Parts: sequence; C-alpha cells; structure tokens
Amino acid sequence: MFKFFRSYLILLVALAAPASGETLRLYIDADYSISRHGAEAIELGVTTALSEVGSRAGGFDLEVLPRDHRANSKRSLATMRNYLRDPKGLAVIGGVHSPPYLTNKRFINENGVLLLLPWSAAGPITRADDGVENWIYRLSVDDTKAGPFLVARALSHAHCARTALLLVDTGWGRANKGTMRTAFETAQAQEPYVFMFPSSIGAASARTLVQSIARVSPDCVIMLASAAEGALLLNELHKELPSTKVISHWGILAADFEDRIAPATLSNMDLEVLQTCGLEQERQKAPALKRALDLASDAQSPFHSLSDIPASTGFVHGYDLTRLLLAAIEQSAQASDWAALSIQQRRAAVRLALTRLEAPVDGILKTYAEPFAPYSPAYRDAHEALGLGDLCMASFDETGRLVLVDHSPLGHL
Amino acid sequence: MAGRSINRVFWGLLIGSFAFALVFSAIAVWITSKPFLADTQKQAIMSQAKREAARVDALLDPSVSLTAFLATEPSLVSFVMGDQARDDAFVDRLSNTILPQEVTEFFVFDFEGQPISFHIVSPQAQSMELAASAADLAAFVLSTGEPTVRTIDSYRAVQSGTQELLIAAPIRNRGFAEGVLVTVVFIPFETDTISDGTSSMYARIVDPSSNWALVSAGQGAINVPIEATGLILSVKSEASLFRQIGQALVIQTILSIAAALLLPFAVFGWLGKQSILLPHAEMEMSRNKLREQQKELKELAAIAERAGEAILITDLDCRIMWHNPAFENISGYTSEEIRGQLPSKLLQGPNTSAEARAQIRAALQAFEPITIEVLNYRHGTEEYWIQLSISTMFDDEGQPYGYMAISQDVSDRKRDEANLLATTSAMEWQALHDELTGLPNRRYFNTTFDEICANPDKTRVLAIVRIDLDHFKNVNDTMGHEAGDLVLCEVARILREEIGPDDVPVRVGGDEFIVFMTVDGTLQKAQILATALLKRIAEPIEYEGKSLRYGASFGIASSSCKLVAHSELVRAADAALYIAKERGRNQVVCYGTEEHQQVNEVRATAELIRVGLDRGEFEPFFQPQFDAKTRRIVGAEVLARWIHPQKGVVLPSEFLQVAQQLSMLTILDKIVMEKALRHVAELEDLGLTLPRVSFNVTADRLCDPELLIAVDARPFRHTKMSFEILESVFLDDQPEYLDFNLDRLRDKGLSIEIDDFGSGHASMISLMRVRPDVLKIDQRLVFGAPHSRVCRNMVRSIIGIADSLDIGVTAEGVETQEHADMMQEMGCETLQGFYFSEPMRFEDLCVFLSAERQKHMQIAQ
Repeated sequence: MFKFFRSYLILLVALAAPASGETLRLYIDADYSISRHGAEAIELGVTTALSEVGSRAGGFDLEVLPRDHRANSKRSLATMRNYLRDPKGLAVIGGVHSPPYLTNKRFINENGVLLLLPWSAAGPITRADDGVENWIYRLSVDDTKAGPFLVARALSHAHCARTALLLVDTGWGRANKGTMRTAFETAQAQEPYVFMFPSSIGAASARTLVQSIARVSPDCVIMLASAAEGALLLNELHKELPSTKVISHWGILAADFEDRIAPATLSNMDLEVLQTCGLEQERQKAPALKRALDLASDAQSPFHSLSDIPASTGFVHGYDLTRLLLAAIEQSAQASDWAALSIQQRRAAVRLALTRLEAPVDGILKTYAEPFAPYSPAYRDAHEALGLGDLCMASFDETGRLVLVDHSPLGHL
Repeated sequence: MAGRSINRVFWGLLIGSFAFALVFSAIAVWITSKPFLADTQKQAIMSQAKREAARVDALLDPSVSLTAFLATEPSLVSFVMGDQARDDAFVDRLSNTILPQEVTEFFVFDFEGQPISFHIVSPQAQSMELAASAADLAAFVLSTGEPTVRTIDSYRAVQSGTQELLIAAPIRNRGFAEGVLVTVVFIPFETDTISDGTSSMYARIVDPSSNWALVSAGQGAINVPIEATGLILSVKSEASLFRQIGQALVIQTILSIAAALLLPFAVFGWLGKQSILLPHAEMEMSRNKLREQQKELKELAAIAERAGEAILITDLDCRIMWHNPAFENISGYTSEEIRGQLPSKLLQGPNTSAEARAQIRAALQAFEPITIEVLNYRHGTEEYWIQLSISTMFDDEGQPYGYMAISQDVSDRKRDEANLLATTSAMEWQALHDELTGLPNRRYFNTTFDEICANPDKTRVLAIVRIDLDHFKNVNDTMGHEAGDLVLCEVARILREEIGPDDVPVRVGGDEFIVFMTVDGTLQKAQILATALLKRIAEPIEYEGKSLRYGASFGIASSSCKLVAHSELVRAADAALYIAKERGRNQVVCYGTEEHQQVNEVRATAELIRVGLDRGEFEPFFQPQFDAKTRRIVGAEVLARWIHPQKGVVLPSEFLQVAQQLSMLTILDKIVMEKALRHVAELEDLGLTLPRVSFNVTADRLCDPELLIAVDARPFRHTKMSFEILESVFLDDQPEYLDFNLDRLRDKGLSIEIDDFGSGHASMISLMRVRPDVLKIDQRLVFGAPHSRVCRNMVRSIIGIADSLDIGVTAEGVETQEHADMMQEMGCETLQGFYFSEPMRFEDLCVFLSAERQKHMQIAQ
C-alpha cells in the first residue's frame, strides 16, 4: 500500500514536472588545481549520488558544472555571481577550502546562494550574522567541534603537556585559533604556543617556522594546513622534531598530500589526522558504502575500498550531501507550483525543504533524520549535518593508507 | 715703409705657404678617408647605442627583480586572493624596502585583471594616464603567466626625453597566477650633445612585437636589444651627427698636420728674420732717425722764427749769437745792432732792479735755469717789463756752450696789477669813510675802537663825544638837501680843525657825529673840546645869500677799555646826548654819576612797565565830559592808569615818558584802548550808553595799521569815538601817512581833537591841515582864567579861532563852579574837570552813569 502510494506520488510529480530536457545546475566550486584530489572526490560523490536517480530530480535534469577556484576567494566569488545570474543554477556545492566561504559568507547569505559544503570545516561559515538569512549547509567536520576535539585528543589521549598550535593564517586558521585556545583554557591546560603561517608559505619559510617551533620544544603540535603547506611543514617537522606527536586537521588530505611526502615519513611520524567516520563504515562493511563505491567505479577506476579513492572524505561527504539535496528537491517538487517557480523561488523552496526533510535519508556515514533545521542564534548547529559523534582519527600505515586509530565515538572523549 | 712692406711680404708668403700645405693635406686626408668614414660613423653610433642600452638595462634590472620579488610577498598573495581585505601588510613592505629611484608606482590586479589597488611612491607618478596600459599588461600576464616588461607610448615622455615602462609580474599561489603586480618605472635618456650644442641622438625603448612602435622609431634607426626586458632600444641619429663626426675627423687631421708643419715653418721664419729682416730693419731705423732729426730741427727753427716770445742765444760770454724776429720787435733794435752785444748793456737801464740783475748773474754762473721779471728799456728809452727765462745749453758731452733766453713782454699785465691795487685801495677807503664829508664812518670807528682796546695797554683812557645836530631836519626841509649837505660838510670841517692829532672825527649817520678821543680822553678834555665845537657849530653859515642857523647837542662818556665794553661806552654817550636833548638841546652833557642814576631809574621803571604790561596792570579810567549849558554828560576821555600792586594807582606822568623812550607807548595805548572799547560795549549792553568816548593817541599810534583794524572791530554801535592828539605833535617830525590816516579815521565817523591846545605853539597852517573837530584848551589856561586877564584873553582867542574855523571847544581842568561858569560864559561847549568828576574806574563809571540817568529822569518828570 505504501509502495503504491509512493509510486502514485512519483507519477503525479512526474506528470506535474516540466517536460524532459529542462535542467537545473549544480555548481561545484572547488579547487581543481591545487587540491585537485579533494575536488574530484567531491565531484565523484556528487555524480555518484546523482547517477542513482538518473541525474534527475523534481522533474528536472540535473547538470553538474565543476568550477575551479584554485583556493582563490575571489574566483569563488566570481563563481557565485555566475551562479546567481544563471536561471538554471539551483545550488553550489563547495570545495575543500574554508577561506572562500568565510570571506564571501555575507555575499552568499545576502544574495541567496544555496551553498552546500561537503568539506570546508571552518566553524563560522555556517553561523550567519545577526539579521541575515543563513543559506549555507554543511555535511562535514565543524571546526567549532573539531578544534576542541583535536585539543581534547592532544590533552586526554596523547597527554601532551606542551602543545604548539601551527595554524594557516587564513580565516579558517584564525577561527580555529580562538576555539582551540578556549578549549585549552576550559581544560585548564598550559596555554599553547601559537604559530601562524601564510597559505602560500614556501620551503625556506617552512623551515624557519619549524625551527622556531623547535625552540619551544613542544611534545605535541596541532596543525591546520592545506595539503601543500601541510606536506612542507610535516617534512620539516619530521626533520626537526621527529618524535613530536602531530595531530592534524584533515585539510592536508584534500590534495596530493601523499605525493608530497614519503610514505616512510608518514609512517615514521606520530601523526594523526582528523576524519569523519567513513572508515568505520567501511570496517563495518556498510551496504550503502558498497553501493556507492560500485556506482562510482567504472572499468578504468574500480573502487574496492575508500582508500582507492584519493581524498575519499570528499567522496563520502559529497555523496551523502547530494542525497540530502535530492531529497530536498523531491520534497520541494511536491508543491503544486514547483514547476512555475522562478529559480530564486526554487532555491528558496529547496532550502526550506532541507531544513524540513520529512523522510530520513540514507547515507554512507549514517542515515540522516532531519539533518538540518532552521537556523537561529540559539541553535547555531542547525546547519550542521554531522556532530561530534561523527568524528574519528586516522593515521597512515606503512603503505600510506589511512587507518582508523581509534574507532570509538569521538563524543566519548 | 719699405721695411714694413718687406716684413709683410715675408710673413705673408710664409703663412700662405703654411696654409696652402694644410689645405692640400686636409683634402688629401678627406679623399683618402671618406670610404672608411661612414663605416666608422655607424660603428660609433652603434657603440653609443649599446652603451645606452646597457645603461637602461642596468636601470631596469633592479626594478624587474624587485617586481618579481614583491609579487611573491605572501601578504600580497593573500590580498589578491581575497583572504585579506586590505593590502596594508604589502604597503608596510613597500615602505620598508629601498626602492630604485626609477620606480614611480605600483598597480595590483586580481585574477580577472581588475585593478584592486595602486601605490604611488614618486611624485613623477602618472596613475591616471597609465591605468589603462597597466590593465592591458595585467590581462596579458594573466594569460601568459610570465613576467613582462612593456613600453608606453606617451607624448609627454617623448617630449621630455624620458620614457615610462611597465614591469608586470604574476602574483602566484601554488604556481598559479592569481593576480598581477605592475610596477611603473621612469627611464631618463642621456642625450648626446656635440660641439654645436644640438642633440644628435634620439633614443627610445620599443617593443619588438609592436610594428607601430618600430615604425614610429623611424627609418634608419639602430636597434639594440635590452637584455633583461626583451625590449629594444631604438636609437635614431641626426644627419648632422655624421657630418659633425666627419668634420671632427678632418679638423683633427688638419690640427695634426698643422702641428707637424709648425716646427719647420717656425725655423724657416726665424732664420729669415735673422738673415733678412733684422739687418734691413736696422738700416731703415738709422735713416728714419736722421730724417726725424732733420725734421725736428726744421720745425724748431720755424717755431722760433714765428714765436711771439723773444728768443736769444748767447755764448758763454753772453754775447748774442742768434735771436728771432720777435726779439727785434720787443727790444726795438735791428739785427745788426743786436748781434755780438751783451743783453745786459743792450736792454737794461737805470730803473732795472739791481737785485734782479744779481739773481740773473748768479744763475748764469751756476749754469742753473732762472725765471724772473725784469724792467727793460726799448731802444734805451721806453721802459717795458718782460718775463725772462734763461737756461744753459749743453752739448752731447754735457758741457755748457751757451745760454738761451726766452722772454715775453708783460707790461700790460704789470699795468693791470697796478690799477687793481689802486682800485682796491679806493674801495677800502670808501668802505671806511663817509663819502660826503670824507670823515671816517661808523665801521671805521668800531674797527679803530676794537684795535685800540686790543692793545695790551688796557689803562688807556678813551672818550666818546656824541654830537647830534638840532633841528637839522628843518634845514633840509626848508632849504633843501644841498643846504643840509653844506651844513654837514661845515660841521666836518669844524671837527677836523678843532680836534687833536689823536682824536678821530666820525660821521655815524644822518646828522650824528662822534669825536673819538683815543689818547688821554678824560671827561674834562672832552668837555672842553665839546664846548669849543658847540661854539663853532652855533655860528651861522651863509647859503645862497641866506644865513643858516642850527645847533648841536653833545653827550660825552669816558672810560678805559678795561672798565667798560665798547658798546657800553657808546650807550653811555647816547644816554648823555639824550639827556642833553631832554634838557633843551644845544648843550653839553657828560655822563656822570647823576646821569648814570637817572639812566638806571629809567631802566628800572622800564622793567616795571614791561612786567606791568605782561600782567595787564594798565587799565583805562574814564573822565566824563559835560555839556556846558545843560550840564548833561556828553562823553568821556579815556586816561591810562597803572594799577601797580604796591604803589596803587600810578598817574601817567610817572610812566608815560619812560614808555615813550622805550617805544612802548604804542603797545600801552593799544592795550588800554582794547580794554576801554570792551568796557564801552559792556555799557551798551547794560543800557548805559555813553554818547562819546575819546582816546589820547600818539602820532606813531595814529600811523599804526592795527589802529584802523581795532576801530573797525569795535564791539559797540551807538557810542561815537574821537582821538585826541597833542598839539606838540605838529612841532615834531610828523610820521608818514599821518594825514592819510586822519582822513581814513574821519571817513569812519571818528572826530579828531587837539589836546592841550595853547601849550605847543603849533602853527595855524598845521592846524588847518589837520582840520580838527574839537580844540581842547590846555588846563593851565583854564586854571589861570579867573585870576589872569592874559589867560582869559588866550581862552577867548582860542575860542575865537575855533569859531572862525567852525571847530568845537572843550575846556579841560574845570575844577570849580567858577571855572565852569566862566568857560560856559566865554563860549566853551564842553567842560571836563574835577568839578564834575575825577577819572574813574569802569565800575564807578557804570554807577556814575546810572546816577546821572536817574537824576535827569527825575528832572524830566
């Protein structure tokens, strides 16, 4: 009965939907140049999720438009402007980097860019300013939780007494500096040494910086960096402070991180990287993951496990986030005037649906029941699909594969 | 001339040969070197262009490196990527970096080629002009990702000899160009200037990829690559440069050849000069000298022949050997008479100064030149003066062989000098003597006095006898000036005859004389002399058949130089003379103790009067006058009174005479009149009108222009004015314009009264001329009338005269009723005297007039 009713509804929607050939576009605003792996992983997740529905939802064909912002906030902003001018542009799916969205957050919210973030972790991105609508939704690590999580990892798990914070000098890094220092204060631990570095740091500057860190002799370093500078810094840390434990945000995994650093170095270092718990799902041989990997695979690129996909986090999150979007589109399309809506109205309708998803959505990481809610200052996590319990830590094995170091829920920390 | 000619020819040929050799050498060099010149010129320009290109390259290189370096600045990368809202950190970096001075500004473009900031670092920056070019370059660099240097075609740069370039470097993030940094540099060109001062090279940096730029650089330009930039330096040379280089080559060659030929030609010239020119020149010089000497001799001889001065040449024995015609003219002798003679015997005579002769002899013996004025004799008879100059003549060995004398006739000058001396003496005499009488004048007297008193013998006793002729004016007026002159000359003659040898007779002016006794001038001697003179002067003299009588008054003062000054002694004699005049003239008064005391009293009184005048102590008193019949007041006479602080009211008899002596009477009259006029005006204001007011005036006062002004300005209308003039005025010399002024006063309605009539013996003719309105009978006649028949007759006579002339009569000095009745009975119209009222102050007059008015009003009622 239920199945029949559901089929009937789909038929009604199909009949009410525009004729085949009308398209809505999903922009992927990501760094295809520097963090190419992360961008491609996200795109793979998105297209895999779309392929499950034949790239069609709400009566529209869905088209993916990848756009490379090269980690340049201005390029990202240009993409946003193009999207806003595009009558078919339904949503923008973000890339790895947080700075473009931190920088352009006000523009995004004021102009109604429906932005879905599968990777960017900076906390303030999904917290709108007072009096401004919040159009940004995330299915990823939230630094407001990741920062304290990493600090807790250092203090409680690794028992670090002298911790150095090594943070990229961007909005992402600056936002984490505040949350992490607060976490140290809350834990009544020794105040950490803070070292900021520019996003375009070179090898010489990296060496100088690490030498400065070595002078304070930390036993732990918590690092926020993208892949390129993260690799530079880790190589230098391995030389100067080989025994120091490094606890890294996952930004280093977004690009060709593994290509820039030797596997032996990775395995020799006491390095832990933040992850969502996709690896845990794989360990548990979750069927959703299996189906997704199968859909993503083709003859040239068969994916047997997440480790076969570079920057697999992007794939997992992109897939899950797209599934939530598709559910929102379908839910919006149930409205009688869906076909007649302008693109702005459709964006608004889908946004509304995202916060009021009526049915649970199955994803790789988990089944999402009401992942988003209307944002208010009182409910600052309303646009976060994942929580503290979705975070895990991983390390590299001898072959350079990421392996879970602790599969216990992070919320237990 | 010939010497100069041969010199000119020789040197002309030498220099011509030298120039000829140079020109042909230069032509040969030019023809030979011409094929190589163009190539050399081109290489020179190429070399210069390469140097300029290297210089520009060196200028640009730091800026290119700096741009590339700054483009990697992390803060700039963050800014370009939007991670930093502002490029403050980049600005800080700029301010901490030493920038090449060629850099003027920076532009920053984002990934779309949009300018997002610019920074000016030099005042030469031209942002507005360059923005578009910078944006084009930024777009190019974003597309290529390569650093690029590009030119800007700017009119301003071409004009100013500078050029602006843009250096662009991509701002990369992880190897990707996310923006562009464009640096603007300002390249100055060094222009090559040559000798004519014009710019010969024109350099520009052009982009080899730009056809337009290459075309604009021009045909024939030489292009040199600038290493660091990929640009080329295009150098265009002016045609004049090639010409200049060619010319420079030829000039250098000519100079070299000239230097090489100079020595041989110089040697040739020197040898020619030594062997040809110098011997020729010496010979020519000897000839010239001889010619010049001959010429000079001829000229001298001609000058001597024509000279106005007499020239004489003698041998050492002073025998005349040669003379010129002028000597014959001046001396009067012929050539035959002169030759071989001694000039001293020929020319000098008895009046020739022996001293001059001696001086000439001494000079001749000493062979020294002499110039002297000597008296000569023309032909032994006629004297004439010459100025003679004699000099000794020496031969080449310095031995004297004769004398030359040059003389000129100076007789005219000598005569002029003598005349001038005589004229000067005459003028001096005139300056010190009276022309009429020939006596010394006042200046002579003063000078003599001062000279005597300058003598060390200060005890010398001097006397001054001051003489003033009495009534001399009458002689002049009645007998004419010739008679007066005769009198003066007669007096002078008497003085000369009577005085002693040491006495000096002086005419000091007019009818005044002085005898200055310079030796032993005691008072006694002076008095004796004065008495003798008085006696002689009193004797009548005859003039045109008539006897002229006149007298003289004498004042004598005596002292020694050490006791009194010159001026004091003269003043004392004057005072004595005045006293003599006062005492009735025709007498001698010595300035003794009594006179001195009298003078001092006068001086003291005079001082008091001066003070009194300053303090306003002189007041008008009013003595009323009454109608003889009705006994009603008809007027008042204003009388001056001195209200002395100690003495009280002082009567005029005590001060009028002194005031008159000191010439203060006029001012005194003026002051009293001014006050009286004001009082009369006050009376009018009080309603107590006085019918008439009369003032006593002197003859001088009547001639004072201010009197007429005061009359016109009188501040009352009803009271009539009259002036009383003393009868004696008409006996004295009347001032000029008296008659005229009396007429003017009469025209203004004033009446004229003759005061004290009957005491002054004025002539009836004078009276008729004045035509008075009233005669005031002298009070002495009125006093005497009751008791003296003579007085009564006199009064009647006066009244009779007045009646006949239709003149009113006023009786003064009416002190009793008897006087009043008698005068009334005899026909007097107006009465004045103590019987009616004493002179009174203004305040008393007011009371008196009020009382009179009331009395008559009561009578009328």
